[in-house]
Amino acid sequence: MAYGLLIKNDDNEVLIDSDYPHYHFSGKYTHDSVTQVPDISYGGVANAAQGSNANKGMENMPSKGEIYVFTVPVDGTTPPMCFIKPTSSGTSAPYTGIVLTKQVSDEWEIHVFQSTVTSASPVLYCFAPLSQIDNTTSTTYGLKTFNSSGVATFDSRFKPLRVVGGGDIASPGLAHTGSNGSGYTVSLGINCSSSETSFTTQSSASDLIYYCPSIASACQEHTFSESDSGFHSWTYYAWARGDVWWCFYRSCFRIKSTSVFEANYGVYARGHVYEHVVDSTNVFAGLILGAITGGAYFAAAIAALIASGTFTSADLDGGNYLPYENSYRNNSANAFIISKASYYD
Amino acid sequence: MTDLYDINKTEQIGDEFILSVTLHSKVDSDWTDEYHTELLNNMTAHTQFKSSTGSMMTFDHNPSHEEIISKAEEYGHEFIIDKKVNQDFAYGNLADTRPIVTKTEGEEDTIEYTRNLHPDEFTNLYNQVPISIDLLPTSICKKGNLFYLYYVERLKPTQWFGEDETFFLYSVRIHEDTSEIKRKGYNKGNPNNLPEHRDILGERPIIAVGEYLDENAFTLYYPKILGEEVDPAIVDKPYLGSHFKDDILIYTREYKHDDI
Repeated sequence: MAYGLLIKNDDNEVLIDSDYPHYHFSGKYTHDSVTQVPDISYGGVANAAQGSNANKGMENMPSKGEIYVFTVPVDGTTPPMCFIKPTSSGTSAPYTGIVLTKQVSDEWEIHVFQSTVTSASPVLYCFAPLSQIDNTTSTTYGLKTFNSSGVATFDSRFKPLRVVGGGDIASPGLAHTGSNGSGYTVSLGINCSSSETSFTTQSSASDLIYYCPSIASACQEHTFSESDSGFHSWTYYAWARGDVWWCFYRSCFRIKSTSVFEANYGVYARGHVYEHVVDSTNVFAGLILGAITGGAYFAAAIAALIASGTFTSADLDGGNYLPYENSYRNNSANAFIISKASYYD
Repeated sequence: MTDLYDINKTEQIGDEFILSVTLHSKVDSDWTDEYHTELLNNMTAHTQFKSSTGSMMTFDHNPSHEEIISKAEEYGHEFIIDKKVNQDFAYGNLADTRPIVTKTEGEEDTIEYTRNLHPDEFTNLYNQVPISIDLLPTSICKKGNLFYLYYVERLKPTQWFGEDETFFLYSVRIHEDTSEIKRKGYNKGNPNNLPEHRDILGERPIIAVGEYLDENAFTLYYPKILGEEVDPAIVDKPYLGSHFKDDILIYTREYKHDDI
């Protein structure tokens, strides 16, 4: 660097570099609304004369988390960094993570997913480059840097982001381990152990805020099918039923203590699609479960939900939320940054 | 190759192997698909139950067949279901191959032969029927001068019954000399609210009604022993049929499996 300002700490970590736009506090935000991904439930016959009519809904399915929708007035193409001030910290706290950051006109829509429903709500502390925040002030002293183009990149008058800890964390692999269910009883609750990473010890866990977008997901399902055919009471009979229950999990996080950051999953979406066929006049080979999971029947379920306006009512994009079968994705090296709410309150 | 399970997908992430497996179950039975088809063709009461469970298994290596079986059993999966194959005691029952015997006071007992279980006797009687018949009946018997031909619901004899005439069991009576035909259809319960003649039958539950389509007559069927549960299409327990013509009781018959 032939000119400009570069400030480092004792560990040779860069604190200020005039070549790069630094993030400054743009505001503290509460949510506009709370929503959930609608249950994706679809089936043909509520009470068939033959075969089991058990669990044609969402019995035994784990509860979904909730999605807090925020509007962050940061005008510009660079997305804001949104730190979550969780509802609580510790080993009983819910897990929370940002699952969506979307520019809408001159604002940003942020979706914060929390693993369990709570009466209290998370709060966002947001940061953005100087060019994208309201940078008027009457304060006439401090430190301000510019890049080679003369654009301001740091200004101490606008609460620059102060990082007190960070690292990367791997989310668990599968959200549910062991059997996914038996018969019409589903077992898809989250039972994996949380993963954790240490950061520089702070004085108060309840004061900490964190930035850690949710990038890991897991998707697991339980399928079951039964069929019978034969001759009884002078009548041929045949019936078949096939079901698929699934959960789509998103990674989310919590402050476990003053020095430990934890990752786990929450149930982001869930569904149950079944087909139940009874035919007393014709003997057929039995419904093939693949016909349900294979796409056509499932697509019909989603189409029906979208047509009914369910997703629109929930203010969420429609989707099948069954992107893959019994696996997980992107669970490693999820960067996180820790700061303190008290710096900005 | 195994018929116990199908592996739908194997995925390795790091050192972890994740298998999506469909585990199959079937009843403890030696019945083959071919035998099942034969039973269906013969209209023999039976069932063939199957189920499949989609399961996920994780291993730290690519598992062997034995390890998949072991994991399935650890999950509590039963490859063989201890579910009694449900045979009813209807005509063609494997458990009781004796024919249905009809007993009427003052008359000789009559025997009803089923096509698949008593083919020789069935054929012998059938060949004596004086008219041309489009569809082979399920069973046949002869009472006096009348041949009784029975057809199950699935094999509706459209030679004699119209589109609107629908029953769970059909019969036609064919006079051996005149070839006169009288038709009768059977309903479970008494859906058409025919007189139940409580003054004669008391509180006996009506399990079925046989309605004559060509004369003002019908038969009320009820358990022989009050309190017994009897399926009208199944003769696991004896039941009675009281025949009324012009609202006058003509006779009462008993139906049951019996030795010839």
